[in-house]
Amino acid sequence: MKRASWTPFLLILLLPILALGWMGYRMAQDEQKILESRYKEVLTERLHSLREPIDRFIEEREWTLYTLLHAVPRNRDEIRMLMRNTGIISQVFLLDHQGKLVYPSLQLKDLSEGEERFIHRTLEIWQRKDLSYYHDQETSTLSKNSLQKNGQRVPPGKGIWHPFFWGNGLHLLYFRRSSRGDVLGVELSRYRLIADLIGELPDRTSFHLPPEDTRILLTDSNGSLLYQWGEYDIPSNQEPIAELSLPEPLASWKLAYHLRPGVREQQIGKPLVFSIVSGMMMIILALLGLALYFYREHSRELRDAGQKVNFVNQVSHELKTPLTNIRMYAELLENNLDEEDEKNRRYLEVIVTESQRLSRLIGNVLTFGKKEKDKLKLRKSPCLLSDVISEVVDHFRPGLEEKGITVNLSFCDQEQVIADEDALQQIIGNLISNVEKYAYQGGQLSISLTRDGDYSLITVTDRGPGIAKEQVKKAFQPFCRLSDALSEGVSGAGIGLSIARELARLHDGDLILLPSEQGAVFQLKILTPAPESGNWNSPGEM
Amino acid sequence: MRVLIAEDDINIRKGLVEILNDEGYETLEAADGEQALDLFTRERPDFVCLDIMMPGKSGYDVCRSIRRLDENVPIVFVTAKSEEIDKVVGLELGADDYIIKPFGVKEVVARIRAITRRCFRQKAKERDKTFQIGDLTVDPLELQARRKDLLIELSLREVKLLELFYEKQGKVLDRDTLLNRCWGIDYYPNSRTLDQHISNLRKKIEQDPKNPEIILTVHGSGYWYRGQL
Repeated sequence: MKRASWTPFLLILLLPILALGWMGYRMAQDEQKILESRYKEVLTERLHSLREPIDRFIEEREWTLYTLLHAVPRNRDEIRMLMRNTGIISQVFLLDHQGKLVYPSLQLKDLSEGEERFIHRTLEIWQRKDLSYYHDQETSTLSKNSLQKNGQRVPPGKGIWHPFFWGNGLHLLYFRRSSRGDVLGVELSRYRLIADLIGELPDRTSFHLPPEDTRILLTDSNGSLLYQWGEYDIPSNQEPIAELSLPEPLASWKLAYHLRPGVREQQIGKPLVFSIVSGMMMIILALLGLALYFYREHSRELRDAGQKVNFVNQVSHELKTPLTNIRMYAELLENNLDEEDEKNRRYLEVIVTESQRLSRLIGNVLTFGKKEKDKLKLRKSPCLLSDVISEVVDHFRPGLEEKGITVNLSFCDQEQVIADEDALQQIIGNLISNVEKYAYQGGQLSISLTRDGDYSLITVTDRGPGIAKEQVKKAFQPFCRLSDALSEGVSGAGIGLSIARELARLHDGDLILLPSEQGAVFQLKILTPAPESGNWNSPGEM
Repeated sequence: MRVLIAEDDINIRKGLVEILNDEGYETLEAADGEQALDLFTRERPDFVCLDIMMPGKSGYDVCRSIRRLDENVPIVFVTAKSEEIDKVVGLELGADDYIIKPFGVKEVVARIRAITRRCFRQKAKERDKTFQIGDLTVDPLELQARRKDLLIELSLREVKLLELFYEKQGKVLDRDTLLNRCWGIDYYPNSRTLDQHISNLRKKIEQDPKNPEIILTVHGSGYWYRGQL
């Protein structure tokens, strides 16, 4: 393969590989993300399992509060007793149907410190009338089933949670609204809530990984640690792999799952990358195999083509040896004949002429073979064109005379020029051969030589049937012979004019058919500089 | 002059031998490259006619080896492929000329004579100067004779014949003398060879070959040149 053809070949080979590689990389990345997401889901599931006791705890606590609020205290003393008997609440409150805080209220005398702090903490809630927002909504975690919990029927009217933030964190209000619109509620004891919650949490958890590689944190809304599992020492900037918020009303609290770096990748990374990479490698190998196959096929075709051309060359070369002997011995015999032995001399002339014809044909075939292989070269040297033409005419003279063709030569004054003698002989030989074959009826062959600056013009004219205008292009095509009427019975491969023109063009000239009323007029124009010009050392190449 | 002909095809080789002998050269024959090199080393011919495609050592290899032994001996390549000539010239193997197959007798003769002229110029001696025979000026170095403006190409043997006639002018030279001096003692041409050559020579140098004035026949004895009158 020529070098230039490597570029598109490499592009065709590399582009799909690069595209596949890029796609594979993106696939691997996406797959990695999916796996990370699934892994996160798995860890989140584990957090859910940790959250289950918390869910139950909140539900239990709500149930307790709900039943607690079922009995409405009638006076302040009963309220205080309720608070003393129930450690899970820090304050009871009462709103009228307009949402005004009636207990504890600043209008009341003898407010306890706790009551005063409650009022202070919740002042904005009452001022904004936040609880009236829940009029048509519920935040109760109680499920429908729990209304029948423990065989008790819960009275109608559900409880509502209202979380709010104050001071050191989350505070919870739980209340219910009566049919009259009054609201009876409690504030949960924060410390008691946390303590009871932690009491429900498992001491250990099944990590499915070594404890030293994991840590699960339960944090409040401020991020303060409430509880933890595992022994892994979390670096300060590490984000958790998975997080899960607690259920309402503790939604601002969360569970966070931390893993030692590399553990997750260890779990999910390599197998997939390996399979994707190995898959890509197989595709690349398949592509390379395909490329190699095409390359070998292409090389084989080139080799076959080269062998065909080499075969032509080899056969032609092999033909030249016996041809040399035929010609050489015929001429030796001719030299040894008696002058009076006209008959044998004529026989020998035929042998010599035919061997020369065969030699020209082999020359044409070889030239054609080289032309097809882009290896046609000229070897220029100083020569006299008139001598070259005369030598060729002398070779053809016996055959031309036998066919009754008169030869007229007309040469201008000339000096030595630079040209490839063999190539010129081949061109002129092919032209004269065509005259001999196709135009002998005209009985005349004229060859003229003129100069036009550095160009030489050799015109070969006959008086045969000529070539029709529409057939001119065809005449110069290889293996193309003109109409059957013209070529019937005439031997030849049809490559003579094609070769002649190529050789002319190698001389920076051309071979053309001039318009003519009678016969054919071929004009050979070639660049033939004088030897002194110094620009003839490099042969013309195809 | 002795020529080494190295060619594996026996017919081409014998044909070249025939042509060169006719021209007046002694020939040495080799059928392959090894034999050619061996003969050259032993005999040191005056020039070499070398086929390129030979069994064993190729013509290129033989040429290189010969050049190592003798930088100046003329070498003519015989080849069927013109591109090999480029190789020969391009590689500067030292070839002096080439003959492309299929060649005719005239082409071989022209090439060989050109080589011979070059050899003679290189080895020019006093006795190789031009001489006058009849109205011809013979130039042995150039293998030519000139009559006024007419230039006549001569073979080596023809030059030898004229040289002998000139040397022995006024004397009749019998067939044996002519054959021994111009063909060599060991060469046994057929009976017509001498007559054929004299006939060919007369066609070249005589104004009327049927009535020669330079080379005259003495029937039953031989030939002679009467000398300048």
